[in-house]
Amino acid sequence: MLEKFKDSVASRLGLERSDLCAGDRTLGEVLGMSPVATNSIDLLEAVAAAIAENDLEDRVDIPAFTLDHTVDELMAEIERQLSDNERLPV
Amino acid sequence: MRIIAQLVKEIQRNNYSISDVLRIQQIYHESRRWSVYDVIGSAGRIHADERDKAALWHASRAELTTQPAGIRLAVDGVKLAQNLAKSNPLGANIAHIAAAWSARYWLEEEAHHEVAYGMLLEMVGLDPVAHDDVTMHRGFFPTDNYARVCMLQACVEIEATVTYGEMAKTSHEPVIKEVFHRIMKDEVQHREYFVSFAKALLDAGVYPIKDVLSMAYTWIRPNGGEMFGSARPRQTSREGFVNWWEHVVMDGSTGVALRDDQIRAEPMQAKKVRSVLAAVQHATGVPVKSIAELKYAYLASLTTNDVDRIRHAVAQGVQKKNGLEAELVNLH
Repeated sequence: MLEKFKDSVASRLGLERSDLCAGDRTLGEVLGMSPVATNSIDLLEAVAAAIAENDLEDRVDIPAFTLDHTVDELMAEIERQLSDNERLPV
Repeated sequence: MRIIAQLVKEIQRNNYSISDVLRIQQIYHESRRWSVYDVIGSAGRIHADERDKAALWHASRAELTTQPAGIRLAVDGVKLAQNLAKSNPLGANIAHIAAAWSARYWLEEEAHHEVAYGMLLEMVGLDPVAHDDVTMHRGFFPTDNYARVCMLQACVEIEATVTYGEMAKTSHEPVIKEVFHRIMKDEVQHREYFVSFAKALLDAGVYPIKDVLSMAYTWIRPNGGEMFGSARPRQTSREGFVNWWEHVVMDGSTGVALRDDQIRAEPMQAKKVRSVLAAVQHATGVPVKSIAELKYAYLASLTTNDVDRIRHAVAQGVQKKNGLEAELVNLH
């Protein structure tokens, strides 16, 4: 599920999944690489769209993050919410 | 004397030109003006307590940031209008109207606020805002989607309205109460203008609904929304424009810290949320009664710009959430 989620986020940002996974990239760095996103609202939108595309509306809240957070931290939060809410019917 | 809440509708119904709308703005502006020097200049001694001083320390700095925001909206509004001139003449007119309001009235009225709070700051015995502090607060406001910026400014005006309103109610010093009250009333009007511009940009088909919803959600979302400002565990380190709400001092040892009951106490936060949700409803036509409903609306708006479909998705989301909650109760 997390891989699909990363694909959705990367696609919304006009990037490849590997761009998100390389090293310990901050969201600010990812924003700088994206040809379509200009600020944190665009990042929020990429994450929100990934939640919607993967039918996770009831299991995942859009996490709050700063541009100094890393992609790993963001994905760990998504994973934590998925795990916490795994008993919810899908 | 009024703010045109349904700009597109009224322009179409009355065949208003840009100049017609700007004259309505001018009449309203003239009817509401007040003189900083008349209100403060004649004041005798001012007895400010620590709470008053903290509020003035913050407000005098926060108001400095309006100038770069106003300049940005004025310049980018005209640029947007030029880009839309052929493809969307109605949208272009809205952008011209918003740009003119920002350049003329918003900047002028906010100048009153900056000067008034700056004067009071010194009258209560605090140091004037230092040169470096002034120039730091003049950092350029970044360019963004105009509807998002209008919604952002509506949220900022709501933040100011609630915090200034609290001081107007609770300060014991008549001049301080009076100034906070007058400025709060100005901020209420500014919020209405920004919401009307955001709505008009959606109604004219310049931007989709999602742009208003994303900004509103960013502002009030739990655990990290902009509304929590400097109380958040982490904030993005920035250069350039100063988001004043990220610089609210909370450390009591500084002598200028704002107390919780001056900005972020629960009833104040609840009032801000209600106000942002009402702004969303006016701008988009989608009724949202809670942050959860706003989230459903936002997620739905990423796949459709149809108001009825978004409303339906909100209703479905609420129904599903209630069902899940009932199921969880049964599990326990």
